[in-house]
Amino acid sequence: MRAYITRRLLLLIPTLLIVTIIVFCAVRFVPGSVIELMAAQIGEAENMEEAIQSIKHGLGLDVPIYVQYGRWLGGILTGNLGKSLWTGRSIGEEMLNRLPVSIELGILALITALLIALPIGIISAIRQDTATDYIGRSIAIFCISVPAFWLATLVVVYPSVWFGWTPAIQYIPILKDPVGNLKQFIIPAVLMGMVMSGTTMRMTRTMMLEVLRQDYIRTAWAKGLKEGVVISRHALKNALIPVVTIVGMQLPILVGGAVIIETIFGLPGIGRYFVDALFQRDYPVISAINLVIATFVMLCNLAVDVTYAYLDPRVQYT
Amino acid sequence: MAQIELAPTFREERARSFWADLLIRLVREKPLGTVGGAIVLLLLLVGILANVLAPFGYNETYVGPRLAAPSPEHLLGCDQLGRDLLSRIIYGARVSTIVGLSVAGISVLISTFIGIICGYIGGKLDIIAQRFVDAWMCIPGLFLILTIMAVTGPGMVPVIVVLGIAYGIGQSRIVRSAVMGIKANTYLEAARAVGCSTGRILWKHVLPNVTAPIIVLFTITVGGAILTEATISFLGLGLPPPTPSWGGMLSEAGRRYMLMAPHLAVWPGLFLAIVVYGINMLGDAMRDLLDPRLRGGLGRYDVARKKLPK
Amino acid sequence: MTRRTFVVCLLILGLIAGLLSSSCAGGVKETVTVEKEKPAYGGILTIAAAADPPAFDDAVQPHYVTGTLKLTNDELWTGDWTKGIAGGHGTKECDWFTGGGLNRLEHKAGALAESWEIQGKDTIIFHLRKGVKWHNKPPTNGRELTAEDVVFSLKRQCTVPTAYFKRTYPKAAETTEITAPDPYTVVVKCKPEYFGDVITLIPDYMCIFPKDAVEQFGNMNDWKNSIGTGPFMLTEFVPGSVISYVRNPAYWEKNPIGPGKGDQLPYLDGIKTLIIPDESTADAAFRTGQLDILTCDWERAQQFLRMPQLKHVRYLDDYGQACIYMRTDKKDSPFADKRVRQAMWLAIDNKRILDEYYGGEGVLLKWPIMYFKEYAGAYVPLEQMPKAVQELFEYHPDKAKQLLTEAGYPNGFKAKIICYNQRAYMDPLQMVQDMLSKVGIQLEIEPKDYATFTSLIVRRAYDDMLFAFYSGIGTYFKAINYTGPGMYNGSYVDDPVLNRARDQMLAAYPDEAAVDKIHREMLPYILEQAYVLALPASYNYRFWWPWVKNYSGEASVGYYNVLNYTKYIWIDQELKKSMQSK
Repeated sequence: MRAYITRRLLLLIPTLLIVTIIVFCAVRFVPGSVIELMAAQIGEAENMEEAIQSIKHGLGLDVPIYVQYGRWLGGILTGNLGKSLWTGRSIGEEMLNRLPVSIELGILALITALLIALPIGIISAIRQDTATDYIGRSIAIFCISVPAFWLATLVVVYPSVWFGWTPAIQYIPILKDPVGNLKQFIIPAVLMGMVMSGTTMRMTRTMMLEVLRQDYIRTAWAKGLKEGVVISRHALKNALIPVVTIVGMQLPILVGGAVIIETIFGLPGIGRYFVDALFQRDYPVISAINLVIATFVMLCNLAVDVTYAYLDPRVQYT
Repeated sequence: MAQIELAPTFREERARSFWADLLIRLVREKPLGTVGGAIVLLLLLVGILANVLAPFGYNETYVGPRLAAPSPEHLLGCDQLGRDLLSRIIYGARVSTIVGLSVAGISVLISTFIGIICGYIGGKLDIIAQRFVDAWMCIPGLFLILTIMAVTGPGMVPVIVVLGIAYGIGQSRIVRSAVMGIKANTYLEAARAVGCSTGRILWKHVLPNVTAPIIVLFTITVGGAILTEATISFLGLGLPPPTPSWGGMLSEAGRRYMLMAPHLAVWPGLFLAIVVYGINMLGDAMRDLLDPRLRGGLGRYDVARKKLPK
Repeated sequence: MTRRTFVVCLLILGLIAGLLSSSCAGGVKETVTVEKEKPAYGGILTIAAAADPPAFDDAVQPHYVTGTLKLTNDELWTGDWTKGIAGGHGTKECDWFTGGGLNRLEHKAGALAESWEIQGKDTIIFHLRKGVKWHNKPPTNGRELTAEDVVFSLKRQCTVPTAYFKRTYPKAAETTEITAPDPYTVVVKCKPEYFGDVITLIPDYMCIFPKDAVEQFGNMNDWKNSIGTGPFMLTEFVPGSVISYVRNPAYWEKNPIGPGKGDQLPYLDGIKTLIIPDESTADAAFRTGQLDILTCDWERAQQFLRMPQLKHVRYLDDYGQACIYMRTDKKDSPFADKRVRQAMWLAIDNKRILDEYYGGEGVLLKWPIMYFKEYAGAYVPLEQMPKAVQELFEYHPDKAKQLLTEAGYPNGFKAKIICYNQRAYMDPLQMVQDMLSKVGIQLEIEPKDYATFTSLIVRRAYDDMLFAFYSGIGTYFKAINYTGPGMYNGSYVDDPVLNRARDQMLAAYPDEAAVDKIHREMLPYILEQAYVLALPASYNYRFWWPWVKNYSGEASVGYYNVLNYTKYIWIDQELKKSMQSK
C-alpha cells in the first residue's frame, strides 16, 4: 500500500504538468485575449496597433509561449504564484484570503449534505417501499430538482420585502466574529448542501439496497443479530464505497464550483475569483487556480482510492 | 389406497415479454416510480407534440402585454418580450428533453466504456487511463465550456458535448469502482476458467451486474444536465436566447422579475422540479426492478425483517 | 362617546387614510428638495459597487476604472458643484447625473488649481491653491502639496508606458511640456493640434500623487500605499467584499453654497462601498436600508418607484448603449448605398421598440449624442430636426421596400450581425430582426461572449454588421464616432462633409459655443445619412433614502469624478435611526 501511495504521489507531477500546460496554452488561444480586452479600454487610441503592442509587451506576452510557461513554472517552483495581469496584486496573497471562505463554505455544505443524505438514504433502503421511503426520497429529490441560484435568490429577495431583512452582505471573517460568520454562512451552506445531498442520498440508498441482499446479511439475520447491529457493522461499511467516491467527486466542486452561491451572497471565495479571471482572461490567475484545484482534485482521488482499500479488503492494489 | 397428495408446486406462469413484465411490476410494486414514469411520458409527448400543443410560437414577441399576469388568452402569462409563457414552457419541454437525454446518453456511453475496461482489466492500463481521467477532472468544467464556447460560439451542440464528456469522464470512476467491487466474484473466475473471451465476459457478466449504478447515473445525469444548463446560463454560458430552456428562463427573467412578475419565476421552476423529480423516481424504480441482485430470494432483507418477532 | 374616544377614532381614521393613500401613491414625483437645514457632521455612507476596483493608480490602468481615486486624490480641476442642483441652491446649468463623461470647460471649477489662464491653443497656466496638505501617512506625513508634485504626476502620465494618455495619444504625450516656474504655478505647453486632447485629458483627468511616495513605492497601485489630498482616506480593501474610507480631517475644500456654506468638507465620517456583484442582492440590500444610494435601470426601478419614502431621479447615460453598425466602406456591399441604410432604418419601428420593450421609458434619439443638460447647446431635439430625419425614426415599411428596390435589392438581402450574448442586447436585436425580415432583409444574429465580442470590436474584424457601443458625450468635438480610424467609428464612415465638420470643431475648440453651433448644424446631415442605426435608449434611475441630505442624484461632478459628490452630502442620523427602527 505504501508503495502504491508513493507511486501515485510521484505520478501526480507529470499529470499536473500536463494539465497546467493544456490550460496555459488553451487559455492563450481562446478568442478574445486579455490584450484586446485592455485595448478596448483605450478605444480612443489614435494608433491602436501601437497601443496593442505596448500592452502586449507590458504584460510579458510578446515572448514565445514556451518562454512564458518556463517563467511561470520557475515562479511556481519558488513558491510564487504570480501576479494578476489586471490588478498587479499577488495571486498567492489573494488565494490565502479567499481559500478560507471557500473551504469553510465547502465544509459546512458537506456536513449539511451528509446530514441530509446519509440518514435518508439508509432509512429509505431499510424501509424500502414504505411511506417513510417515499417521503424521504421525495424530499431529497425535490432538494436537487430546483436550481440553487433560484432558491438563493428567493432567500435573498422575499425576506427583504416581507420582513425588511437580508442575509449579511459584507463578509465577516471567522476570526473577527465567529458567531456572525457562522450566521452568515449557514444559509449559503445549507443551500449548497441541499443541492449536493441528492446525489449522495440516492447512491447511499442504492448501495445499501444491494448490500442488504447479500448472503452475509442473510447469515447475520440467521444468527439472530439485532437490526441495528446488522446495519451498522455489516451493511454500512460495504455500502459506503461508491458513496465515498461520490463524496470525493463532489469535493472539488465545493472549492471551485460554488461561484453562484458566492455571487448571490457576496462571499469572496475562489469560485468567483476564478470565474472573474476567466471572463477577463487573467492568465496567471487562471493558471494558478487551475494548479491548486488540480492538486486538490488528485489528492482527493488518491484519498478515495486509498479509502476503498481500507473499506473493502477485496480491493487490492499491486 | 390413499391418494398421495402431491406437494404444491409452483404454478407455471405464462412467460410474459420482458417489457410487459417490467411495466406490470412497475405499476404494481412501485407507485412513486409509476408517477415518475407518467411524468416522463408526458414530458416526451409534450416535447414531441410541441408544435401542435403550443398556442403560440416560442419566439412570437408581443402577442400579449409585457409581463402580463395569467389570463384566459395567456394561461401562464407573458414574459418581458410579450411572448406567451405557456408556449415557451411547452417548447422548453422539448429543449430540456433533448439536452437531458443527449448529455446523459453521451455520458453513460463514455463512463461505461472507460469504467468497465479500466475496472476489469486493471493493471497498467488502469493506471494510465486513470491518470488521464484525473487530468481531465482537474480541468474546471467552466473553463472548458468557456473555451469551447468562445471558439464555436454559443449554441446547443457545444453545451451538450461539453456537458456529456465532462459528466461521462467524471462518472467513469463510479462505474470503475462498481466493477472493481465485483471483480473478485467467483462467477467471473468461472467464466474465465471456461474460456470466455474478455469481451464476452465484459458484455455478458460484468455489464449486467453493474447496470444498477449505471441506471442511477443515467437518471441522475438527465436531471443534472438540465440543472447544470440552468446554472451555466446564470453565468451567460448556457443556451443562447431565444432558446426556451427552462433553466435559462429561470436564471434570466425569473430572477430579474421575481417581484414584478412572479409567474415568470414560478412556472419554469415548478415544471423543472416536477420533471427532474419524475425522471429520478422512474430511474430509482427501474433500478429496483432490473437489478438481478435485488430480485426475489428468501433472504431478502425486507422479507426477513417482516418475520422478526416484534 | 367621550371626547377622548372621538379624538382617538379620528386619529386612527387619519392614520388609516394616510396609510391607504401612501400605498396607492403611484409614481414618486421628482421634486428637487431645497435644503434648508444646516448640515450635520457624522455618519457613514454605504453604497454598492458591482466589482472590485482593478487598480489604484491611474498611470497603470485607465482612470475611469480606478474607482477609489476620486475620493482619495484630487485633480487640477473638478466639476462645479454650484452649477448643478447643489441641494436646490445651485444654478442648475448641470445635473451631474450621468456616470461620468461630462467634460465641458464652462462647467469646471478649480480643485488643486485655484485659477488658471488659457493662452491661445498652446499654453495653460495653473495657479495652485496654497495650503493643500497631503494625507498624514508616510512618507508625506501631511506636508504641503507643491507644483513639484503636480509636475511629477502629470509628466508621469506622459511617460509611463501603461499610462492612458501615453497609450492613447502618444504624439500628444511626447510633445507636451510641463514645467513649474515656482512652487505654486504649473505651466503646460503643447502643440496646437493636440490642445483638445491636452485640455480634456490633463486637468480634470489626471490624479495628483506625491512625488516622494511614487519614487519610494514605484507606483501607487498598492491600495495600502494610497496617499492623496482628497476628502477621504482609504483604510480598508477586502477584495470581493468591501472598500472603506474615513474622512480626511485636513481637507482644503469648504462648502461653496447653501445653508452649510463655509463648512469644512466633507461632512461624512466615512464611506463604505460594498462589493455586490448580483443585482437582486443589491436591490434587497437597498430595500432594507443597508445601502443608502442605488443606481439601476428602468426595469429594476419599477419596484422602488412603488416605495413613496424614497427619492429618485431619472436620467440618461450613454455608457453601454448599443447601435447597429454596418460596413459602409465595402463598396460592393448593400450598406455603401445610402438608400439601403435609410430603408433599413425606415423598416425598424423605433417607437414600437421604445414603447413595448422599454415600456416607454426612454428616448428615441441617442446617437451621436443624447440629451444631457450640460451639453444642451450641442443637441438638437428630434422635433426640431428636418422632416426627412424625423421620418427615419418613424415606421414606413413601404417606403423602405421602395428604396430597396431603387437601390437594386427588390428582394432584400442577407446579412450577419455580431452581438454580445446578453439578453439586454439580444432581445431588441431580435425585434429588429423581425421587423427587417418584413422587408426582405434576413438578419442572422451571431451572439458572442464578451471577450470574443470585445476582441472583434478592437480588431475591427466584422464582415457585415455589428451591434456595439459608441463613445460618450465628452469627446463630441473630436467626432470619433463617425470619423477617423478609431474603434468607435464602427461603421467605417469616411465622409468628407463630416471630416470637414470635425476639423472645424477641433479648430474652434475651446470655444465651446462655436463648437456647439457646428455640431448642431451637422447633426441633421449625419442622421440623414443613416450611417448608424441607433435603437432607443432607456432611462436609468438613481434612488436614495431621505436621510441622505443635500443630495439630488448626482453621480460624478466633472469628468469621471465618480463618487466625488460624497464630499458635499451629509446624513441625517436621527432620521435614519427613526426610519430604520420602523
